[in-house]
Amino acid sequence: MLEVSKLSFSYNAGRADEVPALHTLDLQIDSGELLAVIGHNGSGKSTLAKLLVGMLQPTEGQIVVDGLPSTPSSIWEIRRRVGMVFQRPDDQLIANTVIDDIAFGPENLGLPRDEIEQRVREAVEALDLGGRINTQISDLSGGEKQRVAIAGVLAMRPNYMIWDEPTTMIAPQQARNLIALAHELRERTGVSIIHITHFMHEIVAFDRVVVMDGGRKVMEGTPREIFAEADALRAIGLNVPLVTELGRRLERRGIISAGTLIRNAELVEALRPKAAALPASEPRPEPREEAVPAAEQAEPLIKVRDLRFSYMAGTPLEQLALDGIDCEVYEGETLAILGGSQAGKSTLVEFFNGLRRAGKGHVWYRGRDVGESGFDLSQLRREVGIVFQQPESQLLEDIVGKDVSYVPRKKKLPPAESRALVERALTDVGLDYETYRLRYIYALSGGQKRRVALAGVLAADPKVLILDEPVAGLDPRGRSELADLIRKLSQRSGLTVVLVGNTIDELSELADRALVLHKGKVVRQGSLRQLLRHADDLHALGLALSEAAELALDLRTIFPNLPLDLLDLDELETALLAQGLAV
Amino acid sequence: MAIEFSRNITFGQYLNLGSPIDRLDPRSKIISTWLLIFAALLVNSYLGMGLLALCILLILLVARIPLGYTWRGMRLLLIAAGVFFVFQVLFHPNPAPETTWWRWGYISLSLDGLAFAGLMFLRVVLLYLLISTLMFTTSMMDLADGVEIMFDPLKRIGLPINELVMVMVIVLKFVPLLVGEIERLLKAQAARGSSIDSGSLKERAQSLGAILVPIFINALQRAEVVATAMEARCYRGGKGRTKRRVLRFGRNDAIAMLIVLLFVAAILVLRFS
Repeated sequence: MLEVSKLSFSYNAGRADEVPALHTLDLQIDSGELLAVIGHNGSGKSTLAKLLVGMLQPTEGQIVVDGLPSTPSSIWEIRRRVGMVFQRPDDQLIANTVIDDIAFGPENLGLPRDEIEQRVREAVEALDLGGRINTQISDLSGGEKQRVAIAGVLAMRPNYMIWDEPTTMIAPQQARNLIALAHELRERTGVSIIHITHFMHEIVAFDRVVVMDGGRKVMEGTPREIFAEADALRAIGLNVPLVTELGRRLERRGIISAGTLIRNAELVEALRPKAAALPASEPRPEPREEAVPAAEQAEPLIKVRDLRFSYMAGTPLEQLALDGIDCEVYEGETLAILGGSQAGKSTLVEFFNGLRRAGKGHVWYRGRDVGESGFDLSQLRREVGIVFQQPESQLLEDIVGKDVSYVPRKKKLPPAESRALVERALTDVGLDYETYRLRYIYALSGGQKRRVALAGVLAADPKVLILDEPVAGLDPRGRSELADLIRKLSQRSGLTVVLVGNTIDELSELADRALVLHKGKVVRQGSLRQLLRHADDLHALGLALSEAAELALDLRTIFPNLPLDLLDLDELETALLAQGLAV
Repeated sequence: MAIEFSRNITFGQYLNLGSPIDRLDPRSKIISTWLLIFAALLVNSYLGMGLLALCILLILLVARIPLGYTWRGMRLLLIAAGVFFVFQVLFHPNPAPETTWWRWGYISLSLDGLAFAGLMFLRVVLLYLLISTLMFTTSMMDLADGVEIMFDPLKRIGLPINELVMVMVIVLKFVPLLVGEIERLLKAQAARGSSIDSGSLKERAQSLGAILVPIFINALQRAEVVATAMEARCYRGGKGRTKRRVLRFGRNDAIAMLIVLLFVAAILVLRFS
């Protein structure tokens, strides 16, 4: 048993700039238990994780791991018993190949060679890495890297494993596999897993959930008990899974009475008798594909024809990224470019603003060929602003005001005009100009840095704004704030917006039109609703669906006429009621 | 110009081509490389240089390294060595008068100068090829294990060999990540309209200078995270650490070493006879 009693921790304890992070926390974790710790950024989750593995020492209180109190002199044994998987796969893999990295921990423990071999073999098998053992770490996908990291910890045979938000930086499909893996590992090895996350849908199958807020444990119980308290969760900015909410609504209407539902399958079961009682109806004809929106007949702002590109071209490491892309971006529209990993999305948008020109094929901006000699690239790049993945690590200056005014200064605008642009950009992203102008960027939180990065692009007054996977690493609150911001911008100034992503979520739902990329080709095109009508093949293309679309797909097994082109809970509820459900 | 440095930086990249050379014991590769470097430094005739070049060409062929790839990585070096070559020809001290075609003060153009500078040029190119071939064909862990075992005796006099090797491994592992980071920052800069691929030379230099601070800070933050991750996996230096991998000196190693020794011996005989 891992016992935490009256645990408090402050950064810089005892100094004037003391920052309390945890307050008298009590927690017991049984061996073999799957525990989820959920809470917002800044709720103290990661601090707790660091204390459990002995990377921080408590200010007050005690941690006892299977009878061994955690003290500075016992930390190596504590770290053997409690392993940790970090958020970014790149930062925790030490060796160059998969097998060498998995062996790193056991080697540090000073085990004999055949024991190391044995443990490495077990870990490789448990994580299904058999075919990849001699692969270079740099050739793995994010999800595979995360699996190698877990294998490396598992090979040390820990009793407890802490997963510190391992799903935020990897593709949704891979994240889902990782959660399934937690259960499999527990069955196989009896290890206890403490999964830290801010995504509710990941934790429905966990044994117990601890909810943290402001450094305190505010709730504790099974997922069902926790999700039953939807209002209390909402008060601290957390949501329940969509199926729970839909179940509540249907229960309030008196259609079902099944208590708190946490899995899609449970709702399907609860509704099955109702569905069976409905008179068999004619299969509904698929709706006629509506005509293309009017904007598409106009001359496109950006036009791409037969674009081909490979990374490391002409070397043994060559990798095809774009394989004959044709597409357009129209003025004033919001376009989503969707696809799984390695689909070529990020590469494509770098062609939109001339960051890449080395490919075959053509890109036109306002009717002019970008590849032509004499084309003004600087001008293009200011008009087509791009916010890269994890923009917070790409800030160029040390002070907020300086970074945001980067482009106005480069353009040598008069100070008053420059100031107005910076002020508007900061206000747009929700940061007060006077408060933040002189702040040091390093001292800001991750979410604030991301806003600064966005403001830096907005201050250039772009005509097109490209956001590359803007929600990666953001918690649910951050995601919906970003969606609101983009909606506001595109409505106010008629800004053309290009959103790159791997999920049909609240952000891609803002799009008038979507492209789906797969292996460097455009494989689907149309409005989001048109795409959702074939939701089942979006999975095969490596896309993750929104909770609403996922649930609609599951409910269709009992309501064959249920439409799939549903964007949110309200639409799903209406569509479900329209199937003829009665009390 | 597109911003893709990694494509042109070939040095230090392990290619994992699965050739017989890849599978050799790293110790025999390291020793052979040292022997050939030694030979390259001693060689003073075109015949000897030809032998050395032949040996290296042989290694490149057996290792199946694409020549185009090697060539791409060498272009910068060739330019530098070319400039050096011209200086050495022009400023050759005491050229023999009968083969001097033109002379003006210290500057001359002579057969002696050409011959001497040519040898120097070939030596630089061959040294570069040798070391990059070792990197192309040897994974970082192999290299580290080889170095650690070869320097093992130095542990007795208290040198922290394991720690030094670990530092080397991590530095080399993070070089590509750092290059990636520089690329990303340059792109971020270019996306904001100032860039290394357009504008005057002064503007380009300024752009490059401006990213040094963010690069440095990112690297420091990353180093801290990596150190934490290593400690979380109980790394506390070489003491009490064991190894999964064993190095084996096999038949192929013996053959390879023999061939290299023959070449080196031939070069030495040529040099000192």
